[in-house]
Amino acid sequence: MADPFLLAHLVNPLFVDIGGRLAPISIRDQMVRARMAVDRALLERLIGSSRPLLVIGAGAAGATAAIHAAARGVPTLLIEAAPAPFLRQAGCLTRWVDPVQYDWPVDHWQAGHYPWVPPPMPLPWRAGPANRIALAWTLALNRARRRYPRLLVLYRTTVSGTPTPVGNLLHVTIATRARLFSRSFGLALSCVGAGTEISTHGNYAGLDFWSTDPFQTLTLGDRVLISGGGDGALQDYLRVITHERSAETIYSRLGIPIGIEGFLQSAEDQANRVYVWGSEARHDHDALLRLHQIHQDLASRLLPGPGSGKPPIPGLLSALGALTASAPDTQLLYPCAHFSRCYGLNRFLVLLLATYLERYRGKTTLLPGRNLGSVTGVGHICSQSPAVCSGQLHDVQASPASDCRTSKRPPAPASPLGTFDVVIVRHGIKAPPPLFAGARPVQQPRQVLPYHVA
Amino acid sequence: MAREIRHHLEDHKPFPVSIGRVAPGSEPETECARLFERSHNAQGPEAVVLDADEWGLDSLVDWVQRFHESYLTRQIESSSGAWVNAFLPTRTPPPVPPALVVTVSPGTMNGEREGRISAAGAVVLEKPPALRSYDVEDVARWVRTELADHLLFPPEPVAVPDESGDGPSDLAAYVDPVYRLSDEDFAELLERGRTANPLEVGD
Repeated sequence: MADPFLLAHLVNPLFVDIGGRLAPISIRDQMVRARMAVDRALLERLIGSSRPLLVIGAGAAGATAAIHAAARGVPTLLIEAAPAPFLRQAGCLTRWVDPVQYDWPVDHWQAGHYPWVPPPMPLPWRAGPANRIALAWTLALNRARRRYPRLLVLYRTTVSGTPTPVGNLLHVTIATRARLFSRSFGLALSCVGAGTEISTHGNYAGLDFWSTDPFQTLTLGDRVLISGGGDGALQDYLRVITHERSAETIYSRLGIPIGIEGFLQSAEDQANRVYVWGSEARHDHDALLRLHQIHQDLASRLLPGPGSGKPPIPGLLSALGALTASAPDTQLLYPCAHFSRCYGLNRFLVLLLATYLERYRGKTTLLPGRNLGSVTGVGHICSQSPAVCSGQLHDVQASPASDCRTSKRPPAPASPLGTFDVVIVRHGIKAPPPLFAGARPVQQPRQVLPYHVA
Repeated sequence: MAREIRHHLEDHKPFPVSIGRVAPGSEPETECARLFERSHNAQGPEAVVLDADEWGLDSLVDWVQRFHESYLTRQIESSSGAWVNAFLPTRTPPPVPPALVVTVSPGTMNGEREGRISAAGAVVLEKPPALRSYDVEDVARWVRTELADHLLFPPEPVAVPDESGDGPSDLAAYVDPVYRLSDEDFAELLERGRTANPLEVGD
């Protein structure tokens, strides 16, 4: 095997992992990896008409890889531990999924569809609610199963033990319905996924990221606390404040000059060049802080404040006023002076909205440098169940956070932050367990992926 | 100059998909057996709908779970020889199960309920308030409209590359038109270069 993409994801001989803790991690990025993995495996002749492919995980990436391979004549076995595919999205009525939203401000973002001419992705889509997209994907996967008889799909099925290379094939034991069977494959491709979003804190359990939620219906009088500095927290801040379904919808109403986009794209590119070679906070901090400051400075110039004597961009104030007219009392709490690594559109919009609310409405919504402390139920006892905590009041404490480059906490105790109607916890992603004993980590987890897939 | 955002108008043409209904009282094992008894050329509906108001949450979740269990058992039993050589073509490949869809009334979900439904193996769709009837045709028509063809099919290609092999290939045909500069786009790029960097504008 000499292909650089496959080698970068190789965790065992003939076993490639495109799930796990990789970045970037949007659904579209996962599907791009899946298609590339199959294309490269075909070029390397690792898979083919007489060399089957095993795909583990029937999410967006796994289904993409399986259909793409089967369409090219590769006998493909797709296995999934759950009873059906796309279950993360299947029960979520409120999360908006857009394939190119976070490509902003690249040119094809405006067009709103994939930036390549056909052949398309096996699971193409335009923006929509997560549950409807899950249904459309399920139908597409099932149609592919009918079209390609050598695409076999097994649910409630997992890999048992450690896959073993035998000659130039990979011997895998597969467990389903208390039965085991063994088969040799040209390649195994794991698309198990990035892990589980962390939405709990101590005994408090907030709504999961992919749960149906009421965030876009919260209004004046509600007090909302969002804990986290990554994309999950920023997305929910935007939805809570504006009641809009997506960042793209918000941005389209603002009339931001195109020159601003180009400037920010340059800043994002510079930060990304640092981030790709990092693995921990001490590598990332300076670049993320600088990026945060650039976005904040730009927001401050776009919204100079009522007493500055400088006019803001025509239409921007009225647009922001309309977007935030029914915003609840919201605070976003994050541990360092900057947001985590996140998509530029989220970063820009959150800082723009926060600047508007502070300078024109007198509301401070950002709380940098704080860690979430205790979250205590008012009139109930939290028991790590969203059903118990949802819709209930909670008393929250927060403590000063140290610089993200050090894990040492300063000695100052936690202090009360207030009582909140809704507490949203978005504390990153808990990595999935190792695929099997002895699996090596992916060598290059932080990546720059192409927009175009030939 | 601000970006002019182009939105694709949502042309909700109904999506061509066959949809059936599962009425309360139906046994999942029986439905599964019927699925496997159909001939290969007589596939059942691609999706079947269970209504949460009709079924009740617990019964519905139980049905979905048992259906998946039953399907997997029959899938294994019907392909016993193929389990060792799983990719040998068979005369009668196992049927593909329908997508299970659970329709719920607006405002009845709280995060946990639809989580139970999706964990069991079904997709949750919230009915519009106007849809009161449980008639399968009404639900089917609505589901087809919800899916809409733009969810599954990509936009029409704007150019087809010349693959005849005669003469040089039209590489431009592989490039999405958003990346092709028009005269207006080029003029705008020139103008951008003359616009001051927003962070260099003095206070």
